[in-house]
Amino acid sequence: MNKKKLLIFFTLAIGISIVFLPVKKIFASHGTDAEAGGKSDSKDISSYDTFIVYENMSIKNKVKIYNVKMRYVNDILQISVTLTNYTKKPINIVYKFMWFDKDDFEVRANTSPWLPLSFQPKEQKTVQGVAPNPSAKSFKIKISIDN
Amino acid sequence: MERNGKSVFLWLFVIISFGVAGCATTGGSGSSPRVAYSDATAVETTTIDFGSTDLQQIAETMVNSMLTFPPIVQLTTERRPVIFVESIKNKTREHIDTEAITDTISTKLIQSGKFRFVDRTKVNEVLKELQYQSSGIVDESTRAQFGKQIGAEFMLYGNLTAIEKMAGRVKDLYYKFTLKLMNVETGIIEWQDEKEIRKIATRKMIGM
Repeated sequence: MNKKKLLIFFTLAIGISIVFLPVKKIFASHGTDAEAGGKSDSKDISSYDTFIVYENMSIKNKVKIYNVKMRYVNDILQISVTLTNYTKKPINIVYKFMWFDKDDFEVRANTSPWLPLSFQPKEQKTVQGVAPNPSAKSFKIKISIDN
Repeated sequence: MERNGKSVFLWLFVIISFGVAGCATTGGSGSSPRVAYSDATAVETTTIDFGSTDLQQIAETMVNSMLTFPPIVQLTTERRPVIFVESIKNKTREHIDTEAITDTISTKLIQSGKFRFVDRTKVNEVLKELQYQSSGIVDESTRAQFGKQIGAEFMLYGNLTAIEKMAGRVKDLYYKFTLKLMNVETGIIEWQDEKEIRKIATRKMIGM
C-alpha cells in the first residue's frame, strides 16, 4: 500500500515538474531581459526623462525615449537608446550625445556631431553611441527638430 | 534734338552699367554680407555635395565600430597598438579633402586612449631635427637618438565612392565610405566597416 502511494506521489511530482518547468523558463527569460535593460510596455517610460534634453519644446511630446541600455566595452561606455515618434506624421529630427565624467563634467564638450534621424508615423528607432574615452560615466541625448 | 536724346540714352546706359557692376561686387544687396558664428557640429545641408555632416557622421560611425569590434577590444585591452594612416582614395567626381576625414578619425581614436599613431608625412622634418640634435649643438643628455622610432603595427586606409543620379528636378547622391585596418606584418585585415549616406535634392520650380 505504501509502495503504491509512493509511486503515485512520484508520478504526480514528475507530471507537475514537466508542466511547470517551461512556464518557469519563460518567466526566467523575462527576468534576464529586465536585467539587461529591457522594458515592457506596462512600465513607466518617464523614468528615462533624465537622459533626454529637448533643444526646443515643440518636439517634447513628439519624440520620447522608449528604452535605454548601457554597457562598458573595454572600459568605454556604450549606449543604446530606443526613440519613439508619438505623432501620426513622419518627422525628421537631429540628435547628439553628451558624455559626462564621474564629477558630471562634460567629456570633450561640444565635439559630438548632430546626427539626422527620420521617423515614419509611430515608428521606433534605436540609436547607439560610444563615449569618447573611458572617463565618461553617464550620458544625455539632445534632440531637436531638423529644420 | 536727336543728338540730345542720344546722349541721354548713353548716360543712362553708363549709369545702369555701373549700378549692375556695383551690385555684382557687393553680393547683390549693395552692402557687405552679414557674418555670424554658428555651431560647427550642426547638420549642414547647404548643398547636396559632401559636407561637414557627412564627414562627422562617417568619423563617428567608423570610430564607434572600431572601438567596439570584439577582436579590436581584445587587442586594445592590455596595450595601445600603433597605427599609420595611408590614405582614403577619393573615387567620387567631387573634390573632397579625404585627409580631413582621416584626421577626425585619428583624433577620435587617439582621444579614446586605445590607439597611438605615427605620422609618416613628417619624416623629412623629423630627420632634419635629429641631424641638428646630433650636430653637437644640443646637450648630449637630452639628445634624441637615431633608430628609436616605433614601427607601426597597423595601416588604416580606405575608399570613398559615390553614385549620382538625376531624374528631372530630383538629384540622388549616394556615398559609400569603406575603412580597413590591416596588420602590416601579416597582411590580414583585422577590421573593416562601411558607412552609407544617401542625400536627395529637389530643385525648385522657379529660381534655382
